[in-house]
Amino acid sequence: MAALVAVMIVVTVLRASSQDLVGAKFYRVLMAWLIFFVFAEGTIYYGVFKSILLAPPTAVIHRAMFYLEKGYLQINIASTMFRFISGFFIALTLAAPLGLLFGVYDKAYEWIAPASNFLRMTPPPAILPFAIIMFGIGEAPAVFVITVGCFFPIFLATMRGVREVETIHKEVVQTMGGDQMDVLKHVILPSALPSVMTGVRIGFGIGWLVLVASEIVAADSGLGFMIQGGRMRLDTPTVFVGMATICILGLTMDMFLKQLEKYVTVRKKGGGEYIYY
Amino acid sequence: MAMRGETDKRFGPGSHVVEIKDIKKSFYVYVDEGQTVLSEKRRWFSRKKPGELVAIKSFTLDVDHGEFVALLGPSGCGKSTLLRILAGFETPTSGFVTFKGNAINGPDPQRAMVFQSERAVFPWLTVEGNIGLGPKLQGMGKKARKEAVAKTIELVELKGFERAYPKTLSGGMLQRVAVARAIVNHPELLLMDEPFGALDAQTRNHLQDHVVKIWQSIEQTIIFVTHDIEEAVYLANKVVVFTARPGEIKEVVSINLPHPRDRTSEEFIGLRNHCTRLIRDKHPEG
Amino acid sequence: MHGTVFPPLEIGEVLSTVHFLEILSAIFLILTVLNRLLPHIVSASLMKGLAVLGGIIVSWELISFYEIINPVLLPPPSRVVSLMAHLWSIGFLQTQIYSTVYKITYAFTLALVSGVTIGIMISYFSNTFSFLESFLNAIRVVPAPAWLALAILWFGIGHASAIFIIWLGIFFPILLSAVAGVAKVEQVQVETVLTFGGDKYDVLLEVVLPVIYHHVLTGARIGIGIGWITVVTAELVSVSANSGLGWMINDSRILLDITTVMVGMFLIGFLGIVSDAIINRFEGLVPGWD
Repeated sequence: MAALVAVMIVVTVLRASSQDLVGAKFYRVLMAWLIFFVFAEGTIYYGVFKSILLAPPTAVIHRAMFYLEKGYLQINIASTMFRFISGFFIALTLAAPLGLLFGVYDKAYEWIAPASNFLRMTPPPAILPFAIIMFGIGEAPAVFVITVGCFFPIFLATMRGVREVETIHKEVVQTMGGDQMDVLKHVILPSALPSVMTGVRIGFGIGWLVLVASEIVAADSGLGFMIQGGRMRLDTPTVFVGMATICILGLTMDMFLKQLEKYVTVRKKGGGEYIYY
Repeated sequence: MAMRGETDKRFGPGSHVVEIKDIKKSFYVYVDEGQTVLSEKRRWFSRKKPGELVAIKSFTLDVDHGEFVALLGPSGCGKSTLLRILAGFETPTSGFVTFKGNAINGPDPQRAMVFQSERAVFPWLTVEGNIGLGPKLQGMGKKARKEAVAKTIELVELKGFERAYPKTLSGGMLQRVAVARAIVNHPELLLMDEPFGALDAQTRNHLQDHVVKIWQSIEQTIIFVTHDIEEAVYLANKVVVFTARPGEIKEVVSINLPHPRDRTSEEFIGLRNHCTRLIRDKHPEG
Repeated sequence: MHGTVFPPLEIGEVLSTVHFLEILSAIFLILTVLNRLLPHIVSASLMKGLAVLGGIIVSWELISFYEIINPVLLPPPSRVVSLMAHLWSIGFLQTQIYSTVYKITYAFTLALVSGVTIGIMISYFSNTFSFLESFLNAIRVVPAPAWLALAILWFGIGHASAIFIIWLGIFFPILLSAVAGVAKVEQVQVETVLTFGGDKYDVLLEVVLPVIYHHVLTGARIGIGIGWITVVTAELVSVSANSGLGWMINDSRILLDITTVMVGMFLIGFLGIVSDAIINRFEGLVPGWD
């Protein structure tokens, strides 16, 4: 049972981290990881490093299996993912339309852009204590802070995407007799989409970062919390379980995002930048 | 510098600047994850036998000091590959090439190259900086460099633009910088790889006159690759016409018209037609 | 160092709302004049940004003044500014600022050097290092704060742990941007240097570094943003000897001293903007094709 799960995890990690699902490269990467795990197992198990500093892969997997059986790992993953997805989607639903709005109306853009550039540099964790005072301990501060973190990249990227739409394309639709809505639908949205995707990708990354940060600081469940708990008990395998889970989740999301990006840009005819070629 | 007409006895056997003897150039063709890749060497581990691409089938030519040789042919006929062999970026699969009697061992400022891409000019350096790069790498002192650069700038008529950055220059000016950059080292051989291909017709003509002027004033040996028949006939005194891939010499056409040449004159048009026919000969579409 | 003693909560003189608003208007007038005189430094877009922020601050001041929201929960900016001045005068603020800035600058410099060097090495020796790619990718997706626990196990509580994870966070964007930059080096550029008799090192100096310059700068901007998030997180968890702006914020939160929380937030935001602007300044140094 343990071996099966281990193999599954290793394969997922390999597939995701090499980004290349077939070919000679896959096997080379597979070999590299196998060698790495064998090496880690050998050295750590036989005490080359002090046992607090590192945990041998078998101990990590053992602990992971334990948590899986008790459902502990699943609960924490669910907690973490819930916070992240809520924060991200709230940010998305706010940032994308607002970005569109402010991008389309020049006057609005001129006023909001410099201020946004100032505001985006505030690190969301700095807002966390204030959020805790406002909302109390619980899910709300973390989700709030994640939302703030995801908001600005998506907002700014959407605005930029809209601003960079070529006037020529807009004029083409207008000469064909299209009105504002047509211009929006047929020109602005398709042209801006790749930029929005870039913003989404960046927002995803920052959101994930802020998520882990807020779980470490102010949460009572979730992967970050689990890692901290492990640290305080000097329970290194747990720390590694947490980090490995984050790693796997991250790789999966990365893969997912790359596929999404490919789908969006290919559909908009090759990069989406010049879709009328 | 030897005077025009004197046989230059400075070099080794044959006393030519460049001697090319029966060279062949071929590549192995591999398919890597859907991409076709050309490779010099045979790979050890490979599932299928590689295909072979013959760029140059057989080529022999001698070039003397002060000659202006045009390599003319359709796309893919191997002329650029030949130029790169002369520059030292590639080695022939068989046969030999000598420069001033010695084998070619890699790139050298004496065989200076002007590339087609205008992006070969470095955008982070000024015109002065770009032209002075070669001398700087050769270890020339600051003062000597400045003088050499100034002289070359005058030759390419870019006076006043010393401090300009490439992003402010037009395509024609950029190519002049590229040419200046190559000749500031006083190379024995100037190699030009379709340098005016990306420019508009007017600029191209203007620069062609420029090149002729430079050729005359400093007695430069030039090997010029182009697919533009008129350009070849306008510039060179020896036009080497290539066949399509795999490349071979179709014919070497001597052009003895004096400069500046009249594109509308009968002799010019006659020579141009001759070359056109040579190129079109094997082309059923032509 | 067992932690700094937190200063007393009384702030003595408080700036009144009226005075505060007067000062704000004065500043705004001066900026408007400077805009006319020095449009390069005080540009129109800067004015608009400051105007919007100023508007937010003014409304916030009024909301507190008219007690629309309880001023205990949301202290007015006039109080925040007064406290800032007070904390500055007793030297407390400087210590915290120095601590935070020290950590992030140290880590940033390390990350810049290591990121560019390793990025270039990976690109040059891509055959030997291609196996490393999947490991780096796996490490990259784990956000820097997740390493905090491990770092503490390794280095104990103190500056080393903090700097380690900040370095980790900044390293990857710079690495990625350096690799992307090297990919943009064009063969004609390399061959040009070779033709002029340059060797491999000349190619590195004269071509690779200028070409990757802008990419690395973009990576540095992303990196510094991540760096700020990481340093604040580390300080919120009191990783480094109870000092730094993050620690100040968290400690005052526990004491329910919202005003100091605000002071910290603003300072961090301000420093973030400054660091971004500094990096921006370097954009113009190496011209490109744009």
